[in-house]
Amino acid sequence: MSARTQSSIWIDEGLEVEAGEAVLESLPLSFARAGNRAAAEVVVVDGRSRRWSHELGSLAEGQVAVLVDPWVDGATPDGRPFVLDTPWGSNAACAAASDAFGAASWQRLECRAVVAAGADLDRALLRLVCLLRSVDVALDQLRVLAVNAGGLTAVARSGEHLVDLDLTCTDGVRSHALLRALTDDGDVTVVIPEPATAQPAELTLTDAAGSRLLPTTWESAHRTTWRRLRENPSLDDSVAFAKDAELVVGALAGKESGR
Amino acid sequence: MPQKLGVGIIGAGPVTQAIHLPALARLAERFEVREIMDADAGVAEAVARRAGARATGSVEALLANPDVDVVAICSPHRFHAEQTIAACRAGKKAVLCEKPLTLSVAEAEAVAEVQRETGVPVIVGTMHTFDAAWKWARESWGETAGSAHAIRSSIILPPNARFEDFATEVVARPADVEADLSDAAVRAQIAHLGLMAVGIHNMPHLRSFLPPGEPVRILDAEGLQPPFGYRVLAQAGECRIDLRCLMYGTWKPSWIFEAYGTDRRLHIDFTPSYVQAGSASASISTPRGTTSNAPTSQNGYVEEWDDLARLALGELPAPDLSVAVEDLRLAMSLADATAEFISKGAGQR
Repeated sequence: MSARTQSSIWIDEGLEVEAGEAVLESLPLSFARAGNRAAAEVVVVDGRSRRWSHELGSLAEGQVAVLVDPWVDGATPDGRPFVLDTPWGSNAACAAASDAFGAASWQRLECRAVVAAGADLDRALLRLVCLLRSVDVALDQLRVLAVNAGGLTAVARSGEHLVDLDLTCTDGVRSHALLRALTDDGDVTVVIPEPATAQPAELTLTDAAGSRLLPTTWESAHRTTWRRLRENPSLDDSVAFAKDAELVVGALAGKESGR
Repeated sequence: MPQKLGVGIIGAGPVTQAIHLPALARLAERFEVREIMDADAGVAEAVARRAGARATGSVEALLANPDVDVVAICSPHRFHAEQTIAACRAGKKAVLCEKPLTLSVAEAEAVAEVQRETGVPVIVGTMHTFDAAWKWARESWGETAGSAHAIRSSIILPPNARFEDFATEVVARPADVEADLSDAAVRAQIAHLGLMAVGIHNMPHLRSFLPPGEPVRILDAEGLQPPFGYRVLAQAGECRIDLRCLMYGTWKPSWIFEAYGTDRRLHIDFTPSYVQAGSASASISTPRGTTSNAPTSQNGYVEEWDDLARLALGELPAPDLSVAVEDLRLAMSLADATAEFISKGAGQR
């Protein structure tokens, strides 16, 4: 796929409008609809489908996949490369947040998300872990401490860093995620909205000199994913995702065996 | 003009200087500070002079002063029980005891017993429960008990001196104590102290939402760096609890209390302690929209003194102190369980 010419794209059936058609409409010069799946340079695969691993495996050599919000659900990624499009981790602010967390001195990160009442918490936990990965906080330990219909509490480690993870279910406020790390003289905080809208994330850096809101990007996380792929066709999130998925599945199994 | 209520204050440290005297200055039409007691004669003299009051080193003398109608107990926590009981027995018109009410549930029950015997109204200085935003939230939310499945109290503060210095010019500030965080017992002590000194502010709010009768179980806990801080993840029945506090080198205070129900969320943003920065801002969000309180210019300290005046004048019935006893029971059980959890080396560290 060339970064200069228009790329042909195929959106798998069943994918929600915000993750497919609406993105295509917003990038009409970069992407054009392919006549059929086999002819597409890029295929957008619905990770919420139980068959996503199969769909990914069916791609021809040279085709690139955008995998939207996958869950492992017994199937494991088959090693084929893909670009991940996850609700919070694909937000445009994650790159700047990654720089900010990387530059700051901190010990503990709070990672919290509000999800709709009745949401699948297993999936939501994986989304949180993917968010952490996207700000370069790759977890190497994860332990679920409590889970019920109202949410989930977990703790994790990323090297020397400690991470608290919290999922709370409510319909009282819109779904969002928040990361906050207290630094020596302030904090780094990013609030990430749900992926379907272009509502921007807010990344705030506070230090002794004051508090600064970094420039906001009014772009949906789905569109950011496509743009990233357009700018860097060799992107591959599959290895990192496999690690994160394994960690989450293991933690959830530990939770279940501990009941 | 109605006669002013005479105030006697026991303990003249930063809380008296930076909180109560400025609050009373705003209520000068109702109160007059008449006597201030402190174990340090120099501090008592300096603070009393600025308030135009008499200085004393004797609790008994202050309680025997017939010009003192209302007593505020702002001494070290370990003296709260005996001094509150003594003020009740002295037949004062009302007593304000700074939080925590006592350092044990047995002491608190003894205070409640004496309060019932004497009929003297006693309130505990958990100022955020007097805050207009909290009163609005209680009224707007409706029945709170068991109505939330997640509760969060996050208290991020600069060192106290930053706000004390905005509130007044403090005489004789206690020094910070160095602590060895490699020692689990020290970390446990720090967390205990933090919960009883800072977390205590939100215990009534927390308790009001918890499912009744469900014990609190610690999931993970940590005592944080000096001067103090804590992080407590807990659960009571189906309600998950996240309590965290850190006092450190930031200039930016953030004092948030949140409760989550299936279809609504309460969010309260409290103003920092010491400064007279008005009421908190509270909002309740539902799928239909968000409602919020109209913040007022009076903070919880002024509101609590306002209530105290009305109690002393018989305009309000004496509050049931058993509520404060139950708040303390929750605070003590959480602080003790947290300290035990940390001492045993459980959790992440």
